[in-house]
Amino acid sequence: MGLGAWLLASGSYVAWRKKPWIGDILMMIGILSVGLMMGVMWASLGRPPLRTLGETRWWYALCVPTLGLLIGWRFNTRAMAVPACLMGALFVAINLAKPDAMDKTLAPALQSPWFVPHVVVYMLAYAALGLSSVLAAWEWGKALKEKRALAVEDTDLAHRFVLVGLPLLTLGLIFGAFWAKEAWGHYWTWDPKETWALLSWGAYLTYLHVRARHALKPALNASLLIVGFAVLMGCWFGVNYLPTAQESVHTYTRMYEESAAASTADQKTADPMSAN
Amino acid sequence: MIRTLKPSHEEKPKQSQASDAVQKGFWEGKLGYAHSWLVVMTTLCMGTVLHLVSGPAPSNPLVLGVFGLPLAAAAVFVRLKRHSETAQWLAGIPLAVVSTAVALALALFGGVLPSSFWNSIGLPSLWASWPFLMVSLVVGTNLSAAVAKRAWPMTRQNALFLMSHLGLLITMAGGALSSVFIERCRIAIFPDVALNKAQTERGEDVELPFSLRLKEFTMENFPPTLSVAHSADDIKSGSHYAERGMKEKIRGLDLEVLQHIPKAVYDGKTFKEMPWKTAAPASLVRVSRDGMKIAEGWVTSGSVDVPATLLPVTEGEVVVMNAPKPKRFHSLVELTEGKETRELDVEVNSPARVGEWQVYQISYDEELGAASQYSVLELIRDRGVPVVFFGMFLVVLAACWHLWEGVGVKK
Repeated sequence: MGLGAWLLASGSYVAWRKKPWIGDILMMIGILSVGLMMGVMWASLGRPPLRTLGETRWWYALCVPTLGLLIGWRFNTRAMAVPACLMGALFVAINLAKPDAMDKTLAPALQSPWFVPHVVVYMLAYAALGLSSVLAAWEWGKALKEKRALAVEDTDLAHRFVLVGLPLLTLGLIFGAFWAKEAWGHYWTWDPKETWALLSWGAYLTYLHVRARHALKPALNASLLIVGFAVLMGCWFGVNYLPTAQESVHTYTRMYEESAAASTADQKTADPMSAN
Repeated sequence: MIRTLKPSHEEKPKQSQASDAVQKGFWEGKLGYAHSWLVVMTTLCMGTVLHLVSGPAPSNPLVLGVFGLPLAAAAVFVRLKRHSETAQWLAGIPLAVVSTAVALALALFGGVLPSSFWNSIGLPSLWASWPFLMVSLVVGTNLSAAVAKRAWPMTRQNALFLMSHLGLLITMAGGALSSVFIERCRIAIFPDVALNKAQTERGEDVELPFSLRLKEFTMENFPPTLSVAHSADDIKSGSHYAERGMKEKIRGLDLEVLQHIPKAVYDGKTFKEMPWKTAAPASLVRVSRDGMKIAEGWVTSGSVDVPATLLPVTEGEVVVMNAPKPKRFHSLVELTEGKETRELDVEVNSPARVGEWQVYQISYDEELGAASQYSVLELIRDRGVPVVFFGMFLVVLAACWHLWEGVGVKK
């Protein structure tokens, strides 16, 4: 339902530009359906659905259109409405195509008051920064199509999303450090996930400083936003596939899969009563 | 060379300025990105040479003191010569962008290449290498200069700038303090004896000012789940807990738990409830396909006293019970300090504090699980933490302020 509502919303924003309220209503229907689904998931799992990559994808799917709608209302623009709807729909589609095995368990290290604020703030940051990059690419594509140079105003809205996303990213990083100190005794251990979190943060900090000095170079700023988003994706998904992933204590999905495989292997080898 | 941003007309006649600009040397013109690249790359090369000559950076107060000098010097210099070109550059964005970019590029290597790679080139890790530390030093120097530049006058804009930049600088300084002065050691504690000797990572003994004895180790598990497996690599796990009455469809098979014993032992014929710490969960499972029963039997994930049991369903297809995942492990510890004895509760996410030491639950005998006869604790004394947390607190305040402005500023 969320997927359908967001696809219809993006279509309606294009078809009825003078009646954005139609798209807004459809967008809200999508937000409510995905929000409701996540509420049911939270209740049925008996823990916050924030542990696995699939679960965080649901949060992302919810946060992007929500943030898109709220910021759109705040600044009275629907420029990001279509990208927000399409991104939300894309992440719902990914989750439907690759559903997660629902697991109710939560490792002791994750049973912390920091768990929910840390992940939710990160998801909001990812949503805002993701929208900023998509908007930058969108506007750049439009400029290329119209055979003109990217104008400074074209990147204004994308920049606003960074102004929202970067502080959230900062909070997420620091909440993580406070939590790590409680759980493992070290606020920073250069774990691969931490390193990538620092890289993402650094990439957007660099963007902010470059933008502060070179606001009149929109193409440079848009490029940095796109690079920043690539690093962000590396931190969220990519790090699980890197050689360093084995050294990370943050890849809970992989740990649980390995634990299930190990359990089965043990039972196959130590199998004295399999004929019962 | 220190020059002022606005040279007086008396010093240079107006008409000669254009030709002067052409004739100016590299360091005499306006300082910017080219100069930043040169300085940062030179520092990187110096770090590399230092690494080749002396190996990884030693973690000692002398190095910390030497690293503090450029930061302090930059701050003093910028305050004294605030309007000079050099001060502007030292505290400016080009140096910030270039030094951060190079530090991040190095961090990228650290985030991609595993520790085995760094070990193979004689480094415990990238983070303790001279090149990384030297580039970080440039980042710190730039930060220090920027903070000094904006420290006065205290306008609203400067206050926000200071909160974020000074917060970051303090966090970095605290991190450096931590890396030098942190004391970490581990101790395995047992029920019968009070121990006061812990070991560092390098295997050195550390005598603690108190002794610790394990009074009780408790472990709780989540109920197990069931899986249908073709091989160790081809498993489809269910999501429902194996509890009496549980029904779940996995790989086209309908599984129903007819009976579940959370702590069971095998008596040679069947499974019976036994409240031993070494007992294992066991479920009597009925397997059906399209309403037709095809197998029924006990499955258990096993323990040291109970052999693991799986239920064959079809050729090459078995129902297994996944090992229960730990929900909580907790050590009740008796601490004796002088003549005083008290109890400590230690568990993950809830460390205990003993003076300056923080005590963390780290491990236990994983083979015995709940029946573990010992508990492994980590003791940490990190005097840099208050500094780091103060810096982080400032950054959090600044982030909230930025967020407020980011949302609040109208287009």
